[in-house]
Amino acid sequence: MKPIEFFLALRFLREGRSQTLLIFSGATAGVAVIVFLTSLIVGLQDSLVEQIMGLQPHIVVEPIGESEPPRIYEPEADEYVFTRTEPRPGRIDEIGEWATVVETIAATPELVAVSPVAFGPASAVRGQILEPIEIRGIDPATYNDVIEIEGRLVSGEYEFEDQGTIIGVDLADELGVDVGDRVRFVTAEEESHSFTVRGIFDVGASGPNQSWVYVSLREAQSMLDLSEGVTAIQVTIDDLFDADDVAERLDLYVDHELRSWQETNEDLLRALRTQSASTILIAVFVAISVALGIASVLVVTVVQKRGQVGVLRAMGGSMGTILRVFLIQGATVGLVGSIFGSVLGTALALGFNNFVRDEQGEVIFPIEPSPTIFVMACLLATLTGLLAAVVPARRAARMDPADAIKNA
Amino acid sequence: MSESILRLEEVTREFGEVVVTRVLKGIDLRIEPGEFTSLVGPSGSGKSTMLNIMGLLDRPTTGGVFVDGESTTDLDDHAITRLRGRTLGFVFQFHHLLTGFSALENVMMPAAVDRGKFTTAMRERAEALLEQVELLEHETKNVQHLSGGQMQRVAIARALTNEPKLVLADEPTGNLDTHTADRVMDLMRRINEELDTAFLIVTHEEARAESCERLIRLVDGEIVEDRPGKDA
Ligand SMILES: Nc1ncnc2c1ncn2[C@@H]1O[C@H](COP(=O)(O)OP(=O)(O)OP(=O)(O)O)[C@@H](O)[C@H]1O
Ligand SMILES: [Mg+2]
Repeated sequence: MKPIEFFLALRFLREGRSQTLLIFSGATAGVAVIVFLTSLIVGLQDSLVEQIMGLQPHIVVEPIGESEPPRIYEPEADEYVFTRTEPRPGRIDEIGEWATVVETIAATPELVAVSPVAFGPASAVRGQILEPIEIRGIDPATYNDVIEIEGRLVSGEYEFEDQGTIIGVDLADELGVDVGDRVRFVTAEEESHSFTVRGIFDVGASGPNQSWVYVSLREAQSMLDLSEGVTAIQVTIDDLFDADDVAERLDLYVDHELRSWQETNEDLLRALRTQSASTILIAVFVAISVALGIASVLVVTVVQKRGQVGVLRAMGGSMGTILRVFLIQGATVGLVGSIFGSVLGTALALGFNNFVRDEQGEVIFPIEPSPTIFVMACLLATLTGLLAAVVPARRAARMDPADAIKNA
Repeated sequence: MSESILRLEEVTREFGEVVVTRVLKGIDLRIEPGEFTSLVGPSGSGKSTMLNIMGLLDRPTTGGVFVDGESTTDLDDHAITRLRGRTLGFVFQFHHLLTGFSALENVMMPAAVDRGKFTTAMRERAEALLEQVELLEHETKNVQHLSGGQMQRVAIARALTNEPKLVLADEPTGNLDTHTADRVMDLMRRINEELDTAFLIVTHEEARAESCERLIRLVDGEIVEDRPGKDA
């Protein structure tokens, strides 16, 4: 590409005035729509995954035999079903040699934390009030790296010594207790255990806030009648999207059932993928209409400028030069349009972020302008402009100079 | 004898595939360095067709076109384009200047498309040419804001940029009033004298044709007259 070709292309564009303005606006609007839509979807999906992953380990090891019950309801393609498996009454399945399993998993290079837990059903009782709860026996030192609790305490401390417990805000409200108050938990076997509330957490989800009750692993083991075993081992790794692969690999060494969060949330992930696919489809159609717009305006320009193009050829301008002059025009429209479009799209996304809030006035989900989206949009738009210019450019280059001059 | 700048040998040109019309019927012609020639003939006699073939913008159906004694028959499109840009200049009835570009940029353009960029040397030469056509004070003006005669003078300056040996002009004054046309003719004649550039000028006006040193008359695709003009 020669400097003179850029010079001619940019001048032709400047010369085009209203036509140029038209295709620039088209490209800008197209890119703005794509950037806005993509930011929105990415922001939505990120915050959804973040919300879910704030309450889930990346990988869970469970005793064999704890299989999911058959589905009563098969969801349609555009639906998803959240299921909650109630542990069956009677003996709870456990992992006896959990210490060995923890040791095995601890050798995983991607590991962030591995934590044994003992979960089981119980009720919280205070006066006349009886609330169904889930006893969650944890190892305080490691568990907080799997699911953050300490940082989400609204009062009290992350502390379990001497029959200490940490409960959710909603449960604390319903029971009318505060830090320092005593509560009573009754197990399925009708045994009553007394605890002191040491801390109250708020994880931003009503289910856990209402039913999760944290106690020390040892207390839970005795309450749930486990013989030194645990009901699950929870694992967190450095990149949550590797969970699938890591779980598969660990399955070779661990004699229990391993489940990644992707497996547990299969329906949700499928819904997210479908959403992403439709976003891409919309982007493609927008790009096609922008391309058609650019192409049709450039075709008109070629016809208008045929005399000048003919003279350029007569003066020694090669077919390649003419071809590139028009290709550069298309690419420039795409590139400049994408820069303005990215700015506009981001402004729209941020505006959306600012004005669309929930009842509490909180941002529903934060949209973060991503450089990746900009770069992708610029590449896509420049390429689109270039492709759109192919037909007009070839037409210009192939014009017979004598004809072009005579019929101008 | 030195080589002619341009030589046509038995050139014919036919148009159409089903109904074939033979527009040029065997033209033999030599243009020598520094000649100032007019080409006349009735409308439809084939003047523009001949000029396009001489200008390497079109190829003959049969016969040969020689530039500096070299045949152009076997040159590919790219080689033809280069040869054309470097040895020939063009002026058309309509100026076909690049609108939105300054007079200076238009004059530099033939050199710039050849070299791929603008250079200071080009600029100096273009300014000298604009001075020659008496338009130096308008060099930065967008050509759209010039008068018809001024535009045609810019077009003449542009035709001279690559120091062509021959300028082919197809009715360069056809679109101008008599007074302006006279000035443009005088300009070309002066350049011919000062730079020794050969000119071949198509015109409809006998008087102008007669004033050239050589006159070629084309009728029905054949040269019927080729003689020194009255003033020569
Ligand atoms: N591309 C073409 N296809 C078919 N016929 C053509 C083509 N170009 C020229 N002709 C025909 O060739 C003949 C000569 O045309 P040309 O333009 O050379 O005439 P001219 O002498 O320049 O006429 P004028 O003085 O009107 O400009 C005309 O009959 C014209 O119709
Ligand atoms: Mg003609």
